[in-house]
Amino acid sequence: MAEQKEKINPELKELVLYRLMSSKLPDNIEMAIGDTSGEPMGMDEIIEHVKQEDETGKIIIEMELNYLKALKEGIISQIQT
Amino acid sequence: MVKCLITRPNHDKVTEYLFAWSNGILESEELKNISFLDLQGENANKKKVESYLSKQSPEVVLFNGHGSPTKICGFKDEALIENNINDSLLKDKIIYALSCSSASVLGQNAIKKGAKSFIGYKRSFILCTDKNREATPLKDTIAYSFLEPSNRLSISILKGNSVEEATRKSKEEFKKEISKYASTKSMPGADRVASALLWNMNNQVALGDKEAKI
Repeated sequence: MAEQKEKINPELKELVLYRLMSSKLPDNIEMAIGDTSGEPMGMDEIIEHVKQEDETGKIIIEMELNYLKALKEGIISQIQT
Repeated sequence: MVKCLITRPNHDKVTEYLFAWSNGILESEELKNISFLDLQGENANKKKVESYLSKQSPEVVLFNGHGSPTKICGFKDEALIENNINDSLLKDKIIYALSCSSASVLGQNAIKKGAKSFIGYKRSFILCTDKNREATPLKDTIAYSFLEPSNRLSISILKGNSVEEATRKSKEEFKKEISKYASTKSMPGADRVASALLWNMNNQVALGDKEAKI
């Protein structure tokens, strides 16, 4: 299934890459995206997927942008209170 | 006694985690009155699932495994239930699929074919894990944040709550875990984990009759 068919805005992709590359997530934490790559990935591999804009990369970009939107709209603050 | 069919393949890291965490459902003290039909490992195959669904008529079905918009998979990713192939076997049942994207097409069609309710994920389910805990998944506190909200949902349904109440409880649990990771105080880069939890919470959907209960 094409998770996200529209072309990724290059500026938004750069923003996501910046967030991922500056992330200090410990090396032992991995992420598995069930119906694409399957196996858990480290941050370096996640970044590669985003750079390539493949199916996994597109999901990561969408997930990060959704989170930023939730931060901006105060949804995360509401969850925290 | 209420019957619950549960499928638990364990052929890769992700399914090993789902397998281990689903023990929390099977061993729950709150669910002693539930008769579990446990298809684990290689028994999570199409032949057995079809046989159990048609002959045992479980009221609740819990699927764990990989998936896609049109199928739910079992051991070694064999399709257990496929859109327009055998989805009518879900008729009259409450289904929870911890399986990527299956709510987007298969779930919708299962409802059209008479399933009471289908709870699942309309997009990929993301699981964060601690690779130092792969041998002991139940001690993986990162995985806990992803799989405990899922277990909460299953247990809630099997305790007799409505689908709506079960999904509310699951989302409350997701929020508690998001809150934990939304600040980088918990660990550096924790908001990566929070963003994945938010994604799962937002993609969890309940289709069909939300008042359905066992």
